[in-house]
Amino acid sequence: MNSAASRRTKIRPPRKSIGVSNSTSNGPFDYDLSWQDLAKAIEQIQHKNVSSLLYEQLYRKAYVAVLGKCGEKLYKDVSELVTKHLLTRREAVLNLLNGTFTNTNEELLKAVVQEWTEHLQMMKFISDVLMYLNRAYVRENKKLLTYDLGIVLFDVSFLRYNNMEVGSRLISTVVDEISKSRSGQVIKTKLYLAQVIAMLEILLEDRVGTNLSVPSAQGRSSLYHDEFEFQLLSASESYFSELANNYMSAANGTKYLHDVQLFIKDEEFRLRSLLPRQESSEAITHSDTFSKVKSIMDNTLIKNYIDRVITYPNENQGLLFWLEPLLVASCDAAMSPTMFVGFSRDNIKELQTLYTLVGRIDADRNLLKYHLRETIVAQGSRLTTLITSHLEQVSAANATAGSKKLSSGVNSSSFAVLWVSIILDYHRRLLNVVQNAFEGDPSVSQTIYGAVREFVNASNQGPSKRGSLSPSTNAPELLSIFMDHHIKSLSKSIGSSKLATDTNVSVDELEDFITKSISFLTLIKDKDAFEAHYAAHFAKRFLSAKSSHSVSWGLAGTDLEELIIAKLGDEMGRGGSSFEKIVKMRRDVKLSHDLTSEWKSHVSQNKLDLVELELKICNLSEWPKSMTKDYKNFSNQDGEIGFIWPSVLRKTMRTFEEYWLSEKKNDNKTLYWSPKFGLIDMIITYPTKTYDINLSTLAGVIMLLFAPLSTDALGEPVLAFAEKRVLKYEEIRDLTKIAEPELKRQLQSIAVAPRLRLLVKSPMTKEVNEGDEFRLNEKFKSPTSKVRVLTVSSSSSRAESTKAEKQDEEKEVRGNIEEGRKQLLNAAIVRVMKSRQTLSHNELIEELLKQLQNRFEPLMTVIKRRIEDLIDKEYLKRDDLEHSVYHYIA
Amino acid sequence: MSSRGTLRTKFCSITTAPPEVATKYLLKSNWNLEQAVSDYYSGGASSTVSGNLKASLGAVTAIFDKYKDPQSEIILIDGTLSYLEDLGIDPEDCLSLTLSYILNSPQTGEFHRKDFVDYWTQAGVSSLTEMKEHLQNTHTQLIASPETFVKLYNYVFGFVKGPDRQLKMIDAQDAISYWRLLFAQCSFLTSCSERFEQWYTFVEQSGRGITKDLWEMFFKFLVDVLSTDPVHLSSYDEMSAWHSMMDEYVEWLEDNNLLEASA
Repeated sequence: MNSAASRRTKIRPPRKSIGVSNSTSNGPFDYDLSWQDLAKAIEQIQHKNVSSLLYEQLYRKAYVAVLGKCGEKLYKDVSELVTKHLLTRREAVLNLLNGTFTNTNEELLKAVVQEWTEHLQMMKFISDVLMYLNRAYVRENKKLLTYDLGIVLFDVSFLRYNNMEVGSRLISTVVDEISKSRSGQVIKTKLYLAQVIAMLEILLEDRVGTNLSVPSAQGRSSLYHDEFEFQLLSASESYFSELANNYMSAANGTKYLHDVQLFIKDEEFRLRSLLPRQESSEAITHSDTFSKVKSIMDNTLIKNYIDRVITYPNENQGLLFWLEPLLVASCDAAMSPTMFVGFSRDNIKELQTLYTLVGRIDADRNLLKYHLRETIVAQGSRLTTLITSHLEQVSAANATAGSKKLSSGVNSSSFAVLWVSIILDYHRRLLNVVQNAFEGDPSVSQTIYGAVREFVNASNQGPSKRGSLSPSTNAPELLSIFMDHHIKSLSKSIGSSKLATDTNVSVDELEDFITKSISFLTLIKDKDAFEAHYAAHFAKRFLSAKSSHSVSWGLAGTDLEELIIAKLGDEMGRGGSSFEKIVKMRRDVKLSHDLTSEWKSHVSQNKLDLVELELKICNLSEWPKSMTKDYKNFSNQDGEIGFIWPSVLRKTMRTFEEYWLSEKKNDNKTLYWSPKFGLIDMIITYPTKTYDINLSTLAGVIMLLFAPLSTDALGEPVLAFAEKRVLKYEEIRDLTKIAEPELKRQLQSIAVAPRLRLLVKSPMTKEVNEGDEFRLNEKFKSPTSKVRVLTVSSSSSRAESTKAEKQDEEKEVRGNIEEGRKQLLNAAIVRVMKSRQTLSHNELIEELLKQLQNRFEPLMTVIKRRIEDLIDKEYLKRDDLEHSVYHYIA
Repeated sequence: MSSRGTLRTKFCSITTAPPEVATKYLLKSNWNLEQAVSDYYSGGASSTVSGNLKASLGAVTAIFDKYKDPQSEIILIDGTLSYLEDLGIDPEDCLSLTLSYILNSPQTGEFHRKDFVDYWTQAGVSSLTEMKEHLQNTHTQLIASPETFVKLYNYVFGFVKGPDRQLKMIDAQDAISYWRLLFAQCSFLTSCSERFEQWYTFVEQSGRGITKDLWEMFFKFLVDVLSTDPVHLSSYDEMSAWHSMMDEYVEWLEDNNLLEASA
């Protein structure tokens, strides 16, 4: 065709003068004669005998005919001639096909493609010959160019002729071949298919003047859209839905993903190679068969089933199944780190496929996000049970092995440590999945964060989870327990490695611990609750520490508690909440430390003969009430003696009080001594050996009752064992004024606890009762000269009272949180209403949630109560007509 | 013959007009007190006071004096009871609340002279029979629709609580008795009588006092939610600004299987 095109450029229209002179010189022009020649030439072209033709001459004939106003006739005659030829060819093709024995698809496709190619070739030549007809007549009358006329005629007289005989056969053959290819058969007709589809595409083009030129083309439907595309789409739809049924019959999510992905890949490749315009197809939408098939495919294979597949239970391998390895790995890593070898199964590939497939039907992947959330929350909620049963197993194993029993309750530190670590690890693994399988999609990370946060805080809501079987977890408290556990063990490890040979290990451990704590804190909704729990733990750590020095330790000049408080404060501060209370407590710790040093130098400067004193001074208003509420019980008031301090201590206490009050800064303060905290170091010489004994203040006070009082004849102190003092339970009670349950607990610690019996009790029963007698244990023996006596705790017979104590503490923490929230809410409501004056209920709620989001998430009922409270106090009033609108009353 | 000063004082005490006005009328009547008072009421200064009202003023004052506490200018509980008895009204009837409402009684068994005299003279009523008739009519109008009834309803809270500004709420038991009294005759509430019986049970169980806000909100709730669809309470929306007691009430209904889930 190139040759024809280049030849066309060589043919120049003869100058007008020549044409005119010719026509005048040759006398009247005879159309019939010219047409005979032209028709003959066209027939030659149709029989592919172009070499014998003289174009110049033919062109001239057509030119003259047009000039002679016979353009219309010529156009019509050409059209008829071409039509006639096409009909003949049609018959020939049909005969050929019917004549062959095989009558295969290939033969039909090949024949049509050949006819089409030849026809186009032929029309090119004819069009060249009739160039002047195109230029003058066609243009003037807005008809089709002869070449285009040929295309339309092919459509009308070849394909559609006789009720679309050839066309229908052709199209169903094409669709048939595509279906074969889909089912995996190798087809040899690919090239023909592409050509036939390209042909249909060309026929589709809207040509202006078609109806004027080929009357029979009027009202013809689009062969491409109405026939080919329609059939292809409906065949595709039924094929896909059968395929989907087939895939789903296995009821296996992993297999489904694999099959669907593979099929889609093949199908897209197939369609791209067959369908026209595939390269620029994105831009063209009107005839984009590719995207239509794609959308049917996505709908039929993915959209209709993906929800079911994602929610498949574990045995059918859905989302739960694919995410399970993450949870298992997190649990294994934390519960049995030595046994943990790595993933047993890794479903990254499935998750990746899932992400891709879901993306085909919804770019935002809301369905996936929804189910991710559901699944993660479900998995996370199982953790409590998983951990509890693990701890029970360990504890049972330990019990049989004879070692110490491990507490498995949800408040135990072993639970808290596992819970926090597993959740953090699980979250980390989930985010890894986002990187590896979800293209690092930040919105999915957000979903995951939200889901983890949801289950972390879930059981906190209390009443809404009435039906849940597993014991509820309290995230703020658990984080605080987790931190308490780690701070204690870190202080210990640092304390023991004072020689600083391996401080690096500690630094890494410390960094890791702080990072973990902070990341977990971001997951907690009720930061105020965390603060309250942390305060309680902090206070306990300080008050039960051996000395105010041992809390502090040097690590590049920083202090562990201080460092953690600073970091936590930063995190809490992000968004308006604070860590103020703990910072203030921390200040007391520091002051106590400084005061101790000052006091010690004061003592040595003045050469005072006093008992050595380590001070822990707490401001009542800053420290947890559960610890400080009974501070007055130990002082004398209203003639009642609260507690009797041993005489050896009294002088020291009095001197310190004077010293303390002599400083102006303590003018308006009162000092109370609280024997229920703190420790006493005492040296006791037993018949066997002299021991350095460290014990609780109260136990120490009891022991001092047994110190020698009398002197011998020479004025030398009598040895305690020479005195052989025996004291009854009641006597001890009266001499110390220690309250009943506490006294029993202390006596158990020093006279009943198995190894370290400083005293002997008779009778030697486990319980301490009235009438029991106590004396020094002459046979006391300890492998080391330094002895630390621990006060018995909840695990022993006093469990009841300590349990109640603990509940009291919890109640107080909870009460503090609630009270704090009420105040915060009231303040926030007044603040908002004062600036806005009038607000609807919902606007107010929204504003409040926004303002308090970093502190805690208030329950709707709590907010309402606060609003009602303020209405009753006449800070607010409801609108007279619209009860859901509030006004601020100045 | 009294002195002019005494006459003026008497005139003022009868008519409550200022002394200048008294002087003016007394001068006109040539210091005839009866004539002056009559002139004062029949035209002149106070054009709103008709002859009819004049007649009622005396009668109403007389009625008030009959029941008032001898030591003060107030009808107290004993007076109230005999007043109600003479009107033929049972104190346990909602009518007695309407009476308190129109006479602006600040709390149970207390009517003030000004409120009493002003109201009845304005109403042009001068006998117990007329009072009863008038009261009955007013009452019928009030209980006809929620729009009119709400005035009486909201008044009752203050009436029960009393004028002490320190007090913020009324006892649940009191509230329930007054609710019963108030709602007994409201035809527009008959559809949901079962619901407010449940409400009483709930309030009793909760043991919480009733604040003004809750009192007023409850009536809205009654009209908007309980009476519109007593079966499903379909117009209730837990996200809207209903008082938290109502939220709890609906929850309580659900917990006790007293609420059918709406279709």
